[in-house]
Amino acid sequence: MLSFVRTFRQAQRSTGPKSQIGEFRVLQLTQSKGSGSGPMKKRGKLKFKEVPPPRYLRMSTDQDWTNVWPTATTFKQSVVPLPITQGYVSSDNENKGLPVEKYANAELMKIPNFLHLTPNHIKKHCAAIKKYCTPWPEELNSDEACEYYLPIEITTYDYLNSTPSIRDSRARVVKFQFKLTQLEFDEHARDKFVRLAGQKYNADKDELTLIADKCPYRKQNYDYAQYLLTALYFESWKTENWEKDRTKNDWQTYYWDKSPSRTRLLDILKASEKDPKSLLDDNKKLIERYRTSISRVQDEGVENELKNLTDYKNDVLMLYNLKL
Amino acid sequence: MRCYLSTSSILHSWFVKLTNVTQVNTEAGIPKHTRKRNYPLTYEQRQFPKLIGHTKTWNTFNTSNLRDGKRKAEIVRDDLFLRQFIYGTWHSLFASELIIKRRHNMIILSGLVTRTIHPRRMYFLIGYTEEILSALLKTPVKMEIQTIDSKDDVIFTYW
Repeated sequence: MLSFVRTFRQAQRSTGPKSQIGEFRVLQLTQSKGSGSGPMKKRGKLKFKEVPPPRYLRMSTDQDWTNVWPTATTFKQSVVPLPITQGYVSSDNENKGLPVEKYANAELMKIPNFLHLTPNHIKKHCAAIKKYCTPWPEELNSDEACEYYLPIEITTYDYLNSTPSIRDSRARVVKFQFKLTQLEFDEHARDKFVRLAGQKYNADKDELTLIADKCPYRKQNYDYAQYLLTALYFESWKTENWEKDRTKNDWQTYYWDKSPSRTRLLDILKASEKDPKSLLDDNKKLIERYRTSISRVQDEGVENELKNLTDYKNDVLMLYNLKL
Repeated sequence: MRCYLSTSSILHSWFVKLTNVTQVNTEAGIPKHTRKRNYPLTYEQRQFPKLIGHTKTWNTFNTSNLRDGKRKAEIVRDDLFLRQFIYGTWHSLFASELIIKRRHNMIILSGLVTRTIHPRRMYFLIGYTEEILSALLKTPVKMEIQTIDSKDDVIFTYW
């Protein structure tokens, strides 16, 4: 769009030699040498083109910069008192080999400047906002205190852009996060809750995360997450009819009291022709050890497997040594 | 180094390779040297398009090309319209390309303008541009121009 089109300057009116012999000029059909006007003369500099010297020359060094540059604006070379240059000069042919100064420098205007965010600016901003702030509550002096007083963490997202529209569909997402220790559970309820939550429950941190993004508006998603949480909680306390069809394969931990191992043990002890109940009382300690070791073998994973199995072996031998 | 962009279908084929300078050594935005080396270029024109991001920066700034940015096409369309509008309204007054910045919902137009017209007329032009563009684009439009003496002030080199 920018082009250096040669504009035609106003030609000087030809003035021949002034007539001194009367009012009439001498008619000249041909030009004699040296009587031409020469090269075209430039237009005189118009008065309104004169501008006063730039403002930065009259600035004192202890002025308040926050008053000079209150908001974000493009770079104004006549206002900034710094000798800033911007431009790559590759040889002496370009810009006469000199660095490109701030006058008539479009590059400096393009880039964002932060002259509206100097430390003094920030101080003024903070001082203006301070009267609306309250101090940090004293009770929230540790992570545990924060967890106690603020059990649930609700996250929402807001997005900015440089368009006339403030809408962004990603802002509808609402995230609920809290630890299960905040809620009251009995064993069955907690197990059911964890099973219902599935992937949303993080066992390492004992944290439930509900992310609601089904609905178009944030408020709808917030209400839905609340409803989901209440439904989960109260459902986990209910026991359905089909839940009693649980088998040993569905147990979440090893219950020795209901296990076939216990019935087997009782049968073995009964077979020794003595009263089984008294036997149990006599050998309670050994049975306890047997119970803990088999529970550990069943529950714990691969980490202590060798140790658990050797313990189990020892306890079994000790238990059956009774008979011998 | 220069990459040779073909403008003809038979520029580089297995049966003929063109070697004429006008077809082979052309690249967008790079002018050819004049014999007298007196063709004036501004800094922007001397930094060829391949140097955008290196020694030259973009003329428009907006968030549409960030991740999940909105309104990419509309912003480009508005940019083109703005450039043409300013070119036509400010007759030969702009000595640099129009610089378009978008901040929140505002459009800020910038550039270097020569002082060939009376300041009163320039104030009118600023007000007129801001008003009519705000009405057309439905966003606040502001002009933050700087004036220079003449177009000779922006000459960077002679090509």
